[in-house]
Amino acid sequence: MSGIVITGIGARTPAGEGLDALWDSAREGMHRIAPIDRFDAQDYACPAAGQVDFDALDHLPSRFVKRTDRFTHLAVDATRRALADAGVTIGTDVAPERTGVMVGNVLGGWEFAERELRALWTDGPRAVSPYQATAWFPAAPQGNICIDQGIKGPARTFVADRASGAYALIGAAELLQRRGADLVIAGGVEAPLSPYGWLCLETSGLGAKSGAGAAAHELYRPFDAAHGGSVFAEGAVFLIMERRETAEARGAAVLGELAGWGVSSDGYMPYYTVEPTGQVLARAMSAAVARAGITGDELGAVFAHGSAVPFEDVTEGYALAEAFGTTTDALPVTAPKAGFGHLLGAAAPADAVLALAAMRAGLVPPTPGLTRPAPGIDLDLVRGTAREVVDWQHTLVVSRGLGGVNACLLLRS
Amino acid sequence: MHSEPETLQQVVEVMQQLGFGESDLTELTEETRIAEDLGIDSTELVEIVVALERRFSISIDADAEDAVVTFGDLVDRVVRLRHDATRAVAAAVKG
Repeated sequence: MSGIVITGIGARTPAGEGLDALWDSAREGMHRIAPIDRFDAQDYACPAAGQVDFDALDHLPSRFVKRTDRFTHLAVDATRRALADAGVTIGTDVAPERTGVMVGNVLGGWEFAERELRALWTDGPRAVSPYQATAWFPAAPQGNICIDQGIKGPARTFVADRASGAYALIGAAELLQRRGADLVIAGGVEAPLSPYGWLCLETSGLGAKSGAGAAAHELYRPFDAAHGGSVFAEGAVFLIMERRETAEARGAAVLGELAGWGVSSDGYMPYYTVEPTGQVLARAMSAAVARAGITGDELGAVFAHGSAVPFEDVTEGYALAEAFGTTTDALPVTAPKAGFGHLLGAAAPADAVLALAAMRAGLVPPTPGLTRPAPGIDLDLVRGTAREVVDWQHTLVVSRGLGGVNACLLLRS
Repeated sequence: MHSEPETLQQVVEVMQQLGFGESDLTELTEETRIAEDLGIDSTELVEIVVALERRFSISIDADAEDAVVTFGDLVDRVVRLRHDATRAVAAAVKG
């Protein structure tokens, strides 16, 4: 028993605002990926994305918006909503010094940075916003969340490619366990929809490529025979995490427990791929399950990393088999992110909150875009429509980053 | 030096372009304090100064910014520098 519970959720995703919108979208396997309209993306290999309908000026003061990037806007708004969902006011319900912040992010704030670098090279140094330095860097959301909420406790940003958000939740749980804080706002954010940020994702080799006339929503196909990489998305997902006794003492509604977690690093060359047997990832999976005090046969479902990068898909399957053996024959595996896009730094937090919603409903959401499983991937993949599962209490969330950064979460309903 | 209403209005417009809204600028007078009342920190003052320089084609001495305490100080500085610039142009034309 970790004793670390989740008492509030805030989300801004391509599905809309909040967990209900995200869950409704995932349960129905809806396609939220569409052609990019934020900038001219026609010359990019992947001209589609999961975009968030969010105008920062509708929700945040204009003087705040001008000095920060979109990823900070999304993060600050989502944390406000998470706190409201938890019924918590910092300074009233919890001391600012006993409140922590843990954020996962991959790219930083490139929309702001690109605009200012363009100004630098075209109009000179005086034309650059004095906020450029503080707007871009990946810890900007963390700092601005602290300022916005008057938080004075431990705060940290994790940059571990697509496992960043999982690392943030683990960081929060460990901080709470060693009583370094009484409440932690933990999650992830990403705003990759600027010309250079999007190019970085293209050159990473992790992105899907359009071609052969596929529609935007057909590009992201985890575990499918036609898998060819992720379609990325912007968004923010934040959780309010507390020790169970703290939450119960204030009469909070407990939404679920982060019962276990495990991390490992492949330490494998070439760095742009992952360890080929899946054994190192399997160790992180097994550790997450063991820490929760359960065994693999108590898992109700797996929310997979599901990047649709062929080598990552295949080795994720190997890892599940390595960790859980024949149990995987009847273990539902899904990747609902194929419907709304891979949220990078916010991907694992999104999967974690979806897992809680799914367990509550007793329905494993499907993997949109999966029609014909790729050869060599021998998993019980959920496709088409959501699948009913009874007595489902535990879900494994798998998260991986470039260079074999593995971080797995075990959610208990 | 008295602020010229026309310059004052233009300084307000520059600040509006930098995100200052109605709530920030209500009850704005020449006595309104830059830091305490408007919440303008040194970074935002740099942003405002650069924007004023571009708007009025003047050069504000950054080292002398400490003397800018009130909104009136800011407007006065712009008024004086605009006059200086006008005189310099006139002198150059005569020269």
